Amino acid sequence: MQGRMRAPITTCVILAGLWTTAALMATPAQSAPADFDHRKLAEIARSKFIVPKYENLRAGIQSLQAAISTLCQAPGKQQLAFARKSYRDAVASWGPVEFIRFGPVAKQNRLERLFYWPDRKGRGRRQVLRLLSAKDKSALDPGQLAVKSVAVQGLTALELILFSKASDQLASKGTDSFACSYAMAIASNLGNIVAEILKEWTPGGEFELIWSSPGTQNPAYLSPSEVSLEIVKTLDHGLENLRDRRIAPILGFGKNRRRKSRPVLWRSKSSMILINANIEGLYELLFDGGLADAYVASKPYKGERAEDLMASIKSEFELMIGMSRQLASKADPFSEPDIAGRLVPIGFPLRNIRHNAVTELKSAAGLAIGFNASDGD
Amino acid sequence: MRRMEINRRAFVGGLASSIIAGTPSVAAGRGAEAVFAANVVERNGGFAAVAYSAQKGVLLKQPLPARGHDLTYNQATGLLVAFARRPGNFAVAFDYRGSRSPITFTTPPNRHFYGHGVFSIDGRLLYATENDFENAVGVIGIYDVQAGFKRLGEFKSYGVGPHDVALLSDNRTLVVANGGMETHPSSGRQPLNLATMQSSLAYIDRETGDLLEKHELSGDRQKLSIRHFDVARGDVVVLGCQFKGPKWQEIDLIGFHQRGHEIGFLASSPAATRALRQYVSSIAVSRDGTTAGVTSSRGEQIVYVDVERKTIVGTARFSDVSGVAPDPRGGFVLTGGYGHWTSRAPQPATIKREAWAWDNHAIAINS
Repeated sequence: MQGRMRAPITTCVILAGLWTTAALMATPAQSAPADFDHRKLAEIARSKFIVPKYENLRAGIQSLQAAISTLCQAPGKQQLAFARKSYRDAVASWGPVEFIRFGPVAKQNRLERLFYWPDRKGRGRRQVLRLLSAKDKSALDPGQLAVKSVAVQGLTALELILFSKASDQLASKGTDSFACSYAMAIASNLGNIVAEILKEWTPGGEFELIWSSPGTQNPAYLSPSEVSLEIVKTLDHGLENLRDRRIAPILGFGKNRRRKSRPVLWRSKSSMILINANIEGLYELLFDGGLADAYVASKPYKGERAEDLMASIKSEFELMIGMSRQLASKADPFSEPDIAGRLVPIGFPLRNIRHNAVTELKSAAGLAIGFNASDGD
Repeated sequence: MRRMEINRRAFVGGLASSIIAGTPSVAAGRGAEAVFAANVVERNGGFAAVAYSAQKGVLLKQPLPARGHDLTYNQATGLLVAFARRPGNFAVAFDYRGSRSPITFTTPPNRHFYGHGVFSIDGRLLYATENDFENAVGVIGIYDVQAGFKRLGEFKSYGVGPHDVALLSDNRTLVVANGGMETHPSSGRQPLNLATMQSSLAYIDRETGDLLEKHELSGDRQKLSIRHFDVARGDVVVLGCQFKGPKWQEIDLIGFHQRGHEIGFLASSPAATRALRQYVSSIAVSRDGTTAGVTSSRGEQIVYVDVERKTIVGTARFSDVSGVAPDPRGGFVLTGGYGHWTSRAPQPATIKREAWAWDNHAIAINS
């Protein structure tokens, strides 16, 4: 056998080329409808959804920073209550962007630094408590905090400080201010991370240049349709993660049947605020971020069926949002009777929407991706 | 870390050569039957492991309870084992000649398979990569073949998320790719530690479970996951990695390792980055040991690497390609998710198609 494959390099290359032609002929037809406007979708998604939502998050964090600053300077029950309210508002502004997992947020562990979840083994709690008990002063400097463990930097770490049993002390004058200063540093670090993300997304920014110029020389997107695929995948994975990882485990469904998990952000009772913000964010990504319009404009069906389909998805979404908003408005939704019975009709349509919207969008935009490419290991 | 330069001219030539026509002249072995095995997903949603002859088609189709990942074959016993894809916990051992009844066995309830395993040369023991998910550490499960695949015990994989595993030529040293990613069945396949993940290549004495040597990826490669590899002549381990960092970052995915040395990578180029899309699906060394076939389903590319010179010698496109196995007649068998497959690649050959989707891996059956 030895030596049989050992053709001269050039021969090998030519053979690879020859073989390529044959392979291409066997490629299943995947041509996209000519009128799906990928470039327009990329720009609308960026300017009408991604950037405005990150700006909301920046505003939410700025308010939180101000509220914590007031609390640290003049501790009091009212100030603590306001800081906690600002925390919940910041969570609401985080929800819509949580499922964006590409672009600047994928760099320097920003996603995990903003929100360390899931944390099944309670690493965040352990590390935050250790940091608090050691009074690690380097954590009070946002710059130094930024290079510490991701678990002690973000909204999940801040929740421990503002809502744990010991946190009531934050309202008393004269107590140790280390925890408050640490909370301040977290808020400031969060503000820095979001500012860095926004900078890269604004026109001329590092990632915006990649996003707006797909092509064979682009390091991330070889064609405009790959940018569309990124947006559709965000919707697809967002709907899946929300239902299967965030809602189902609380209900003890699926693989987690054996035991129910505590809902995300249970300490601050902002679980439903986050879930609702996630749902509203996915809705806005679809309907404000250009996906639904690009779909309808591409006219995958003659007549009005495309519009009808998007209209039906929209009404299903709106029905669900009505229910989730109502739950999110309650002080402690998970103490409500029959919370499971009220979450099921929120979780269930997510699968339906995912199936309909994502399948349709992929087909209209010519985004068929291979079985192995989409689900390899 | 040692870096090896790509033969840029050859690589670019490979990309450009898709329009060149010519007469192939690679001498190929004749007569040998090319038999391979792969897991498949059928159109009706069913799952199976298939033993397949390039000349005769299906030799045996073994139904699986759920989706499989890789298989392993033992020449001494003629047994194949198909492993569940993570986080599945079943494996099915069968004789592709159909003379023995298949045996389905499982991990203990607090473990699941990662989809890969390897037999000892005599075929008496089977080693499988598994997840001790409550403790978030990797283990190697040991199964007694003659006792109906009874699990004898386990030892550490010396890392998180062990994936591919192979036995070196001494029949004693196991080499394990610890992918570095922590997962838990309650969160499906979602990685839980991207910020802190650390992949490694571990050499383990299969008789004692002792760690003999371990090499970790860190720094710029902290988010690089060693997933699959094949062992070339001289126990040179040829690595195929997957990158979990930002999409636009250029990163070397193909590495080489030999015990006692550092891991070396084929230096990345923008063209190589784009061809592989930060993702190697499978990797196999040709029967003569000279060439590695490296597939990327995301890039729909096969990259051919000269193992001795450590250079890329060609690339080719193949839709949704993932499985690659050495063809005894020379070159490689390639399988894709649209059901198509070919043999003796990169030589021109007819592309054939089956009704199922070929799943992630294909292996050669050396009979």
